[in-house]
Amino acid sequence: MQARKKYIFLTFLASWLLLFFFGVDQLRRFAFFSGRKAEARRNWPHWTDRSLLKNFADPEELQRDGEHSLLSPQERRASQLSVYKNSRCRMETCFDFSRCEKNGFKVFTYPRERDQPISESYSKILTSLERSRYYTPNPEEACLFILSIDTLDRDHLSRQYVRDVDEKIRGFPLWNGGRNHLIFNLYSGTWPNYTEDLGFDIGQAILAKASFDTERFRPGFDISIPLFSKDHPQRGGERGWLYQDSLPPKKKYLLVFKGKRYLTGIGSGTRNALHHIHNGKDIISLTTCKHGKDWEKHKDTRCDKDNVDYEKFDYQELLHNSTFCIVPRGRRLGSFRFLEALQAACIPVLLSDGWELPFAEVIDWGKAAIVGSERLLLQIPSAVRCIHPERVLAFQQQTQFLWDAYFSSVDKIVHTTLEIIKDRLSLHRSRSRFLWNSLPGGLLVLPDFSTYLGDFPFYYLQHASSPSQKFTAFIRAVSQAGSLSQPILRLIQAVSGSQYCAQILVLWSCEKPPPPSGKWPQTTVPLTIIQGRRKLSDRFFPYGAIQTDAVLSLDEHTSLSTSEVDFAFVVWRSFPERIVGFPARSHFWDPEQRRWGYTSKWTNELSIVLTAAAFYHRYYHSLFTEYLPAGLRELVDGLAACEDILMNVLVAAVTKLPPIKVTQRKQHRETVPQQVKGTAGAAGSRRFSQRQDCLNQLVDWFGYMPLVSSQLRLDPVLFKDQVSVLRKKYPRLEK
Amino acid sequence: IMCASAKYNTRGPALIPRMKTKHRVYYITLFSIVLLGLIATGMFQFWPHSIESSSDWTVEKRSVHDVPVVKLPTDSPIPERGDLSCRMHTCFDVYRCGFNPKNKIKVYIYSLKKYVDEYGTSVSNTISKEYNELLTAISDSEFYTDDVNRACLFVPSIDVLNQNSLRIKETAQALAQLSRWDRGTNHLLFNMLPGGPPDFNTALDVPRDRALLAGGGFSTWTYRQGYDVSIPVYSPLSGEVDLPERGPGPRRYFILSSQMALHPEYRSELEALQAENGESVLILDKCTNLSDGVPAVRKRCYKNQVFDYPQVLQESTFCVVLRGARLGQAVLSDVLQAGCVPVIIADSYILPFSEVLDWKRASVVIPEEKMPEMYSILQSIPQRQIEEMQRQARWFWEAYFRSMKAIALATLQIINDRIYPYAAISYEEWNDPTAVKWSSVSNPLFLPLIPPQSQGFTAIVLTYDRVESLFRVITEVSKVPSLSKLLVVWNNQNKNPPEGKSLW
Repeated sequence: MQARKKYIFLTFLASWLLLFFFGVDQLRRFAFFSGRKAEARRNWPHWTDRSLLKNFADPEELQRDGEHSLLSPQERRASQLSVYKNSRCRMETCFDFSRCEKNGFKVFTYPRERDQPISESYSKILTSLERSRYYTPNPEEACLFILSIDTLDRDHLSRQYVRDVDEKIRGFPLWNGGRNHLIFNLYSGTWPNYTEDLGFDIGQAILAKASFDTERFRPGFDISIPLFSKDHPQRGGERGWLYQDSLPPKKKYLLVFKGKRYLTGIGSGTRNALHHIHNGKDIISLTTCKHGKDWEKHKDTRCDKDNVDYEKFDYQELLHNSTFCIVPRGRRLGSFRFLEALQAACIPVLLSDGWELPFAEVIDWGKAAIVGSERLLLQIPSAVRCIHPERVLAFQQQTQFLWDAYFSSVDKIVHTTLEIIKDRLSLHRSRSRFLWNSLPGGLLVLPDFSTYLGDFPFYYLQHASSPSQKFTAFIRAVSQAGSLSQPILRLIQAVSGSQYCAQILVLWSCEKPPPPSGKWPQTTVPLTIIQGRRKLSDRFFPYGAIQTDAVLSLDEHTSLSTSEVDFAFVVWRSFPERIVGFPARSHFWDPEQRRWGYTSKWTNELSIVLTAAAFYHRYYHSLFTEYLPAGLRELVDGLAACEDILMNVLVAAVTKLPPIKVTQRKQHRETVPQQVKGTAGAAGSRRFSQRQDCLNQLVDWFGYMPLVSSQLRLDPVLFKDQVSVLRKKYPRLEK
Repeated sequence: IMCASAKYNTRGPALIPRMKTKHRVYYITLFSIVLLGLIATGMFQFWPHSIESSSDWTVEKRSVHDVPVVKLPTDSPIPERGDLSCRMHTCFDVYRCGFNPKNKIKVYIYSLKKYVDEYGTSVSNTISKEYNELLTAISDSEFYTDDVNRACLFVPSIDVLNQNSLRIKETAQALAQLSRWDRGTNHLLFNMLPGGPPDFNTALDVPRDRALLAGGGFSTWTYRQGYDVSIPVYSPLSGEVDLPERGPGPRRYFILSSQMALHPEYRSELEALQAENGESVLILDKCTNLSDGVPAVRKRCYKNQVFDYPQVLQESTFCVVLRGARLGQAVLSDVLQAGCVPVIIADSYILPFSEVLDWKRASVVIPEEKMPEMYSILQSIPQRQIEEMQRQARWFWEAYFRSMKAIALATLQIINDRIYPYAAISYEEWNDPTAVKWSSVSNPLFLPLIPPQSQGFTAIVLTYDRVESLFRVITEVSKVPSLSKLLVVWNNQNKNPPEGKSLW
């Protein structure tokens, strides 16, 4: 009996709960509607005569717009030139495009003067410019000019402030009202209001400035650069701190800030409010009042407690362990914090109203940062909590990509600035926003090569296309014989037998002229001889004859079979951005000599695939010849054998991935080491040490070691499996 | 993880057969109450929908001529001229928008009124067809609110699409007397044809104080980046003519110019191009000897040949869009509709929706000075890229140009994205045509990272019943030095995993 009562009671309860659960919401809605029935949602009326309404403009008038103007187009342009100057400069009114037409985009830096002190940062900028592939020492052929006067710090209280810039500039015959000049600046204005004034007349010069205010920014003309410290590396640069994608992408803290709180003056409003969102658990927002000499004068009641809390946490620790980092304005709009958070993969939450974000002309910051509003600080915690984990993950990766592509060194910052200007000069040959914002980034995509996505090795998946079905075999012949050797004949036969081969190119780099066309073997595919200039870097020149996406690079001594070529090409089509090939080498760190080592020994790792037999994308020829500065190619031309290492370093620097080794037949001889042992030991070891030197010089030039090691080799699916030979696609590989 | 098998309640079902009649009555009443409750719930569920659908009847059915008339005294206040330094953080009151879970701004539309001056002369046409369509679109969208107190953005019903059809001072006065005007804060004006003869300003001349302007034909000097929105000039032909999408590929002409009333200087430059490159360049003009009744807007002529407009645009790979007196041209919309790649020659023009659209993928911009080089510039574009641009051009038209509704919603979305940037629509969503969105692959782990070895790996073993072989696998796998954790998923719900530490 007891049990039954219990059940009845329970059922009652359950049914009431059910009714309550579904009913209340409905009832509320019902009440809402009955209440509003009298004045239901007032939409925009459907006018009875809406079809009779007139058009906003007479269609003919709309198409004939233009008959009333009095000025001719030329007159209008001329009048604009005089009106839109200085603070209203745009490229079309303040920049002389004709200077860039004859010699292309060339950059001239004023010679440095002895008595002129230059800050460390500015000297790095000048070095970057001088090392750039756009540099010219001749002002006659220059398109863009950069002063040797240090204009980075224009806070006149600062020690690095240069006086009388106006006078000095007026003395330069090349100044020309600032036309085609680019001025770099990190700090402008000073206490108390930090105006954006530089303290001299920049005239019609382009200003590349940190902490740019949108109001002063001349869109499409000026460039906003990030604030970087004097310790920012010249080249290479540290990599980002995201070493692995963690799922879910949560870290210990959700949102952190640790920094100064200004008690008075500009920017204090935002920083004073930051402590409100501190909850001591997942949101840590700490401020200190200690800054400047007389902070105690303005001290308020919070200061003492805040200062104590402040010491409890370590800035670096917070940076490493938080998903989001608040980047509020300081006295100026930008701060070091921005780049620090970016590098740390701590998604920046910007509280800096009116800041023209660094390189915002090309970078889509909406993918890497949360652009908050200073006025809505208190909404930030709930806003960031609502962001889905998959977006957080995408944000984190994008911070790392942007950091590495545009910010991690002074070189990159300077080059991004130059490339943005270059893109403006010929709009039809410029990078789309997509190219700037996806891997590997705008600096590594040369619009002079192509503006079509499908021509690059990086975008096949996103673009839903695939690399071409054929390849071009590119054989370098250097033998001094003057006639055709057996190996090269055999190689041509083997390669032309491949079903994927479109054509064979022979780069003839010998003193003697190539044999007449009758001497060459008959092949089913076209065979072309190119006369080289007898430089080692020739083999990576972007010859117009190479029309396929894939290039099979070969040496004349290489011995390959048709199946090997076929299989390697199929592998390459799956990895079109990497080098796919046969003989491999590796690098290692030699702790005793404190330098990088290079080895051709049989090891279980590889990081270099020799271009004596390798597939890669033809775009790398363009990168090699046009992206790398001339100095680097000269270095390679001066050494006996280094160009293939440079190619591997370049591809690894672009992709951040190791090359791929495919399987090869057993009897394939390692030609190079054989020669070394066989011919002359001394010559061989000299060659070897040259390669090692070269590797170290390249590392020095790039600023880091780009090569990535791998333990992977790809074999055909049934390779060496105990099944009938007839089932195998590449049976000849096993012979 | 050991998945605990579900425990069934074994006592429940046995209850019913043992019930007495008295209790059965109880239960029947109880169940009927529950049933009734559920039915009522269901009915409520459907009821409101019928109310909503009937809300159409409550929409006012009136003529635009019946709207209330407002008389503007001559001395009624005029707003300040537009402030060029306005930005979202200085001139926009973001507190009105608030934090809401849907991240949608609320837009209010003022009711329609007819404004007359002291002498009873009307200030402008009450409302144009296009502006009515635009306001209807906003009203039907999820941005709309009819509650002026909850609104974040206000759209006046005063039609300023075409500056030439209104009286500037009086229109400004009409704006100033709007109930929530407050110096124009959070007010949005739509204008497509700004300026008037002789100098044709590139932004609306009506003084509007802090109001945001969605304008067609901004130049880089009048456009307040991040505040104003650049919109297209709507072409009425979009609604009238149905041009089916034409597959990308080579067309009969390479370059086509279809604009009437070009400045003679431009025309002579185009003709020079034609003289140089022959038949592949076609320069059309208005027809002089059309028979009556044929609308001049729908025909174009070259010498004695007559072409249908805008159909002829589909015959060309590139179509020139030159500036006229104004920077924004309605022909851009026609060109995009035809899937012709626009060649935009209008220095300092801010392209429509340039804040979010990547025009480099759909158009070629050539400086006016470089017009003579146009042919060689266009020749240098790879064929496959041209095909992609043709597809992209058509997509832009379909998504953002084809109707006033599309224009209105894109504008509101852009403003919405500025206010809720963390919920903003991405570059891909704005720019990728639907076909590309479906076919392309984007890796959620796109950064090339090689996970550190130190962390090791986690082994997951799925098992059902065979404990012995499970233990064998565990023993083998645990020998691997880089194993950091081993998870066993026990998939047998009828049996508990073996207990006791010793067994494992």
